[in-house]
Amino acid sequence: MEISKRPQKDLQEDGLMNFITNFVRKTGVIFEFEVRKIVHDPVEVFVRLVQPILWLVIFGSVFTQYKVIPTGSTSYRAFITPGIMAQSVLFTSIFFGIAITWDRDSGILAKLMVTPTSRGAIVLGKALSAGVRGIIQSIVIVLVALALGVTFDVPPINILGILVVIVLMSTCFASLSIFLASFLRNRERFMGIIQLITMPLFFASNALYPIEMMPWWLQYIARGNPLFYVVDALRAFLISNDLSSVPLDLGVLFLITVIFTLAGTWGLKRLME
Amino acid sequence: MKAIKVKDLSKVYGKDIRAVDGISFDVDEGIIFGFLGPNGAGKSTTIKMLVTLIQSTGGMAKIFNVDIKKDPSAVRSMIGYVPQEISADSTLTGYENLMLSAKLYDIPAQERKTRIDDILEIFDLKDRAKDMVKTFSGGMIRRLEIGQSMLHKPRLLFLDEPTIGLDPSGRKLVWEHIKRLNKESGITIFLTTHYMDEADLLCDRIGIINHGKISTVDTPKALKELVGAGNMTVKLGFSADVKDALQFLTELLKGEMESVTSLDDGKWQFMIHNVTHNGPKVLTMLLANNVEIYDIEIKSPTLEDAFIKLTGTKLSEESSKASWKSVKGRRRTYKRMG
Repeated sequence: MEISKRPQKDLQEDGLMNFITNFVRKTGVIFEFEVRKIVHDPVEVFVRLVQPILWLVIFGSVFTQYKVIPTGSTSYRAFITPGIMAQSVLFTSIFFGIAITWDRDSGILAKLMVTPTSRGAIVLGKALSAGVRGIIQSIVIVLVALALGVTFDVPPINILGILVVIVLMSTCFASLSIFLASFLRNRERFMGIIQLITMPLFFASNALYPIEMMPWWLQYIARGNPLFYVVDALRAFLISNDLSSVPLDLGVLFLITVIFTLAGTWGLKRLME
Repeated sequence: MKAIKVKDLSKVYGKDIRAVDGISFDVDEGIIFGFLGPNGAGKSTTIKMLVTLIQSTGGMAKIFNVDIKKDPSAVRSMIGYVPQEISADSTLTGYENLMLSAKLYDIPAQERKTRIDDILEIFDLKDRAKDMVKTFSGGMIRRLEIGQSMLHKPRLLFLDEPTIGLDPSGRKLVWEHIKRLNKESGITIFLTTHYMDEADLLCDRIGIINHGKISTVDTPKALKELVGAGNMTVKLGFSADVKDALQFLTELLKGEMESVTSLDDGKWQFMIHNVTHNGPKVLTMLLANNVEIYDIEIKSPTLEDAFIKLTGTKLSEESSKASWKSVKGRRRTYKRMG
């Protein structure tokens, strides 16, 4: 076996264009192998579905029957289906930092980081794979909702919109999780903090009830909650087909995702120190 | 050209935890260079700085004349690195692990398959390539990891404690691979270890490191000679001539023989430089003087002796603490797999 006698610099010659191609390709590689892991062991994706389905079946049944929450002409179960989708994706992607901490404690992360691969590509590739989990979960949730008698009248173009929202959202929260993991190196503490922030995120959003039902101050908080924009967009695409607020939802979501991905990249470097 | 050039390199955590405390050394191209020291001596920290995983807080280091701080990505494409911890992904197959590395190292698509097949061949992993890594033995995982880091044909390979946690046969196999890589492809290897036998067997040069500082860099032979005399203990039959013979011997081997001490039970201890060479001379001389010999025991100076002499600490004592740490680390890994 021979060794090459020159630095293989030609492969990453300076220049923005090269950087971008390389970044996109490497993101794709990291993403590909994360997806392979899901294929090898899909059980976990489905285990995480148990909780959301219980919400839909039990919580949904009770509240649908007594019409406690005013949801207009849509049934309550139809109303919370996008909310439960968002919850399911949130709860999966927000724990991504744990996996990264495992990869750090073993040498897996170090091994990735000594290759000529941008740190951002590692974070983005892993975070995007959370989107695949999110999509699988969302499909199952829609199927369960159909089985429970919810009807959807969704134009095909909206499905594309739903996929975009789920991928953005997964990337957003998975990156946030990586960022948080760089501060909370102790896994038990990390779990605690994550529990602590997911509940308020979920309840201070429009996932289970319209925000008009909230006291005024909570409405303000809800509008600062990324999950609000996710659920709003999902509900527009999946239930109401009233797309007037979608551009704002997507814009906000995209911006937060970019910010969190950058924070996650910074966190990844920090995690190694 | 020097493969590695390090000057006053240091890493300070917080205010004054000096993990690496201003070390300087060079590594010539083509050799196996070892860092020997107990866990916590700063070996891994040094490697992590050299492979651009963490930032140094002082000094400078160059890999083939490229500054690690100025152009980390050029450094990354020239080196391979196998961390101390398990770095192959247990949730992927052996082949997938290699493919992941091949893609991340920018190996052109048409070459990937041949390179991976070569690696599988070299490291004896061919028939297990399609299996999940979690079913591999420790030795196989290590071989796979070294293989992953060789895919892009690096000029310099960093191995952090390459045989930690392996059983004796696994260690031997990994040693053979390391030697062969170095011999056949001329790749420079930088490794760290807290095993004396490993350093002695593999390394052309050894840097002794303790508490973040390098005390000496030299060949294993020179380090052992530094200790001076080895000892030979011989049980002799009683003879009136013993004293005379010993007197004669001491004069003959002047400068080589440090002392002769009578122990009980007819045993004599000779402290001699270059004991494996001079010991037989002593024996021949004794026989020529009609002294009967019943029992001999020769102990050459070891790297352990050199380490004690240079640092004032026993390597094995400190590493017993370390092995508790690594056991804890391994348990974590099992917990994850289980």
